[in-house]
Amino acid sequence: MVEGKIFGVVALKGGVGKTTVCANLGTALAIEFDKKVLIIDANFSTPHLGLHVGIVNPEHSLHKIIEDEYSVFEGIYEHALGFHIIPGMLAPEGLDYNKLKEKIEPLKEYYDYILVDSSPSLNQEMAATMSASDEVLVVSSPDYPTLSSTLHAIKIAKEQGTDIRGIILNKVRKKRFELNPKDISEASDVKVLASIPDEIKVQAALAKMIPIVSFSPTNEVSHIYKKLAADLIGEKYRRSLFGRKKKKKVKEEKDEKE
Amino acid sequence: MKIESSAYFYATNGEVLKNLEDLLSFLNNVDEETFFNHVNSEKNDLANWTRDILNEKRLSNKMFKTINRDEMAVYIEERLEKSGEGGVDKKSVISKLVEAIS
Repeated sequence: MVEGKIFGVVALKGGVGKTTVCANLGTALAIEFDKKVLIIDANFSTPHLGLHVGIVNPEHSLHKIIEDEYSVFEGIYEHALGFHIIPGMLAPEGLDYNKLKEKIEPLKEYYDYILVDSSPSLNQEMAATMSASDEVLVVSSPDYPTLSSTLHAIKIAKEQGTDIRGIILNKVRKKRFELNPKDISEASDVKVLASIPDEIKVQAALAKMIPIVSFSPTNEVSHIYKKLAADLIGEKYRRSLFGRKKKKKVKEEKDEKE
Repeated sequence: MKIESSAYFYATNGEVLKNLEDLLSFLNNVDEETFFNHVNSEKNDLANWTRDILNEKRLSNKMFKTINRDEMAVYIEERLEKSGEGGVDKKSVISKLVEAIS
């Protein structure tokens, strides 16, 4: 039996790459560090996590678990990349988001890490994710509007008493006009855990519905995700030239299963 | 000022710097290991490049006196602001945002 940890992946603004971060961190933890990982789409109004990992129209989804249509265990999909996922579908109005915590808390016995992709809006959905999480990862990007949203998200997490692990700075172009990690860290009083470049290959990976960590394991962005995953779990990550071998191994295992 | 590609600064992490703006961004984002490869107690590649290629002698003199990346970034920011290439006052905008939300 394991005592897992739940990370809420939050952002108070759409388009910063929260779901991309969630999918890639989950993949990195599973394929690079052999952890038991569950990723959950708790973005009830715009659920897209499945589309990042090849699940287009799932039969089971989180809101039906919350509505007690079936058990949480029945709603879990095993993904070929080694992680498990509870995808989301557009939820009906009036869903009791507060039940999210009671539904996923028992899963900590079965997983090392559970990543919950939250809604990008300041609403009950996001509050439910924060309340269900042991720690939150705030995804941001280096511009003023997103900084403003990031400061709001951090304020809410603090008010709810949820621990903030740090900020993941995404879509970084390393231009002078951008805010830099130091600016953001100083403004928010929260550590910036990683700066992820705005890399075209991330979009290419999304078009294939494969997280870049698996799609292009030796890409700089993939290395950054793997380093970030290592930092989150207190392990060391050394860049390896064998990323493709791991991908090949995963593919072989997938073929065997089929 | 445009420089030939052969005069670009090729950092050990693969980054290519073409001007002061690139250098400032590099200092603000680069990892410690890469920075140390170029700036340490024995050498300062960044200051050398700034002096020899960008012809920024006064700026490079300041850069030679430190191995602290934040300090170097401040010198470059000051230089860019002086030349009118600076934009809005970033620190002022950030502090207003912090004040508005807290």
